[in-house]
Amino acid sequence: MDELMAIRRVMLRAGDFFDELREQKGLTLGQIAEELDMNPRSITTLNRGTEKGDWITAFRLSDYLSRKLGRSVPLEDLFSVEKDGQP
Amino acid sequence: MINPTEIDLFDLPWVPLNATAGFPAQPGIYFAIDLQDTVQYIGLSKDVRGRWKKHHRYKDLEAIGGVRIVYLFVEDSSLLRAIESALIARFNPPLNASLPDRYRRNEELEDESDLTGMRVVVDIYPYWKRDRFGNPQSISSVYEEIKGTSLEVGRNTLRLALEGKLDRGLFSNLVKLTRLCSLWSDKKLKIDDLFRIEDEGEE
Repeated sequence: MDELMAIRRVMLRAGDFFDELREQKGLTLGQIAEELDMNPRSITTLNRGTEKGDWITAFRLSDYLSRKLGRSVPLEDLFSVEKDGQP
Repeated sequence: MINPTEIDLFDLPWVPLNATAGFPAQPGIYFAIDLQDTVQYIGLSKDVRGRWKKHHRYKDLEAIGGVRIVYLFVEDSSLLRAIESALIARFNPPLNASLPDRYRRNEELEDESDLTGMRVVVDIYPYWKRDRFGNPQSISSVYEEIKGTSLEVGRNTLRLALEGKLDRGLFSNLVKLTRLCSLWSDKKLKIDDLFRIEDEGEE
C-alpha cells in the first residue's frame, strides 16, 4: 500500500518555483529573499531543499508563490517525498 | 465539566465586536458570530479581554458587519485547547481555515501578506486516535502502536502535536502525522488540515 511505504525523507524545496519566477518575472534569489524579508542564505537553502524547519516558512512560501505566480501553490507541492525503494 | 457537543451558543453571554473591552480578564473560548448566526471564527485565550485589545481577525470580522462575540469562560485553562479544537471541529468556522487558503478565496487580500507576529502550529487533537467508546487514547499507547512502522514519529512530537504546540521539526513528521490522522479519522486529510494559525502571544 503506497500510503504506508516507508518515507525516507521529505524536503521543503522551492527550486523549481524559484526558476519559474526567474523566467517569468526576472527575479533573482536575492530579490526573492528581499521580498520575503528572509536571509539570502535561507532562500538558497530553500532553493536546494531542506529536511527541517518551522512550518510558518512553508506557509509564507506557499502564500508568496501563489500570489507571484497567479495560481495556487499548495503546501503539498512544496514538499518532495522520497520513499524507500525509489531512486 | 464542559461538553463541547452540548454547548448552546444562544445561552452564552455576548458583546458586539466593538465592545470587547468589556470582557473580564479570564481564560475562555470566544466565538465570532455573524447576523446569519454563522460561527465565523473560534479562538482561545488565557486572558480574553487582553486578547481582544489587538486581534488579528478584527478587520476580517469588522468587514463582515454585525458580528457579535460570544464567550465561554473556562476555569481550568489547561482544558482550553481541547475544548477549542472540539468546537472548531463541530462548527468548522471559515476564518479558522488556513491562511493561504483564505488568501486564495478572498480577492481583496491578494496583495496582503500578514503573517507577521503569527505562529503556525500542528494540532492533531481533532483527529487523535480514540478507543471504541470514543475516548482519546494515551500518547504511550499510540506511540507503542506506531513504533517500528513506516509512520513512526517520536513520542515528544506526538505530545506536542496533540497539545497544538508543534511549530517546527522534520518535514517528514508533517507527512507522517497527516497520514496517521487520515487513518485514525478515516478521512483523506491534507497537510493544511493539521495547521492552526495563532498569534505568537496567544495563550
